[in-house]
Amino acid sequence: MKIFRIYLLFTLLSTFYGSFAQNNIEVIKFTELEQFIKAENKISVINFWASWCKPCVSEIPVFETLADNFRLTNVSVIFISLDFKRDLETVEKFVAEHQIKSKVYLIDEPDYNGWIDKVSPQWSGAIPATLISNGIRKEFYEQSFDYQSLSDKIRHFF
Amino acid sequence: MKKQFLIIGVMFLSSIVGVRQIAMALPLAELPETTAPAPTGYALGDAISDFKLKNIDGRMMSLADFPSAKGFIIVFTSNHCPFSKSYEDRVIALDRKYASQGFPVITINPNDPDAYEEDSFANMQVRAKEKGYPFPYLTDDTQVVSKAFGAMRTPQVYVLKKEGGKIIVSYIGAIDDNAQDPSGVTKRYVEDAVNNLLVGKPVVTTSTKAVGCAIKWKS
Repeated sequence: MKIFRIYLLFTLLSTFYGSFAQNNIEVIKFTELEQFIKAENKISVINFWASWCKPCVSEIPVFETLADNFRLTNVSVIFISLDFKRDLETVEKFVAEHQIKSKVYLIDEPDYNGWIDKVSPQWSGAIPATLISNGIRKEFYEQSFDYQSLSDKIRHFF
Repeated sequence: MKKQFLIIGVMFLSSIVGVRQIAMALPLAELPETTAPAPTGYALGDAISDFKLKNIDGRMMSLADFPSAKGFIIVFTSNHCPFSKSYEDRVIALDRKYASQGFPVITINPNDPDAYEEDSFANMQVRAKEKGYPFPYLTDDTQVVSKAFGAMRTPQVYVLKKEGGKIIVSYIGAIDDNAQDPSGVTKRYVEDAVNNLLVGKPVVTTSTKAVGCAIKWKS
């Protein structure tokens, strides 16, 4: 019953906060992604995902909570969608429906072999994958996260 | 699904009323997905062991069933993965071009169908029939073969050549350099590899990476 009430409350709140959900997704190239990776004086948590990737979708709330809990400590969560550019509309709908508050970009670089090594040589190309960077130090994980393990990784950077 | 909404709901609540500890204390996600095993499979130049897997026609198949083949184009692929779907016609074209020259395509679905219903054996049969696959589409239901190869994602290709009674790994990686748009392809990695093997030349680009769907391993 309590769960139901929270759920109901959320439904109500979501109608108010729906307008905060981001709908337009910027399509970027690798050079822009590189700027995120190189950004100093903050910790960027860059999550590579796609709307069709089940394990990616299930870990989105983990990253959103992280962004919320660490928002005063200069941690920014950035979602990089690897959905195809032709599916941009699908991704926009997905982001609106799931009320994703962190910034979402779609990277339009279909020659993956030309750039994924620059994200990390460890990356086999599978998603979900996450890069944590403060511009100087980079840590790369080709895995799914729960909240505890993700926040532990972030704490390495403090 | 409901649980996810609930989680998002709690996040909203927490951000609004400032009780962030609520969110911290909740078990926010399922346990992490089984992490892909370290890629300890076959490397370039390795001789592979033959395998026996069930084809969509219900029969068991192994590489020994192709005594006259000069090699193989093994494609780890799946029904559900958008990258696999995007490459489907190109995989068919590879078989049409190279099977007659001694390099047949053999596709293997490595995914745990419990993770993606679309990847079940019945759905593999449906998909193969719809598209008229000219090649075998094998199910690796124990995932032993996929692990032996060290496959990580779909689609992922292994070009193999027969040499002195052995079957040698000659290329590992992507099909070409544009998953999204066949007309945007500039490098045809698999074709280049097979073309060289056909004339007895070494493969120039022996491995590439590409984004694909992580193989769902059974836990």
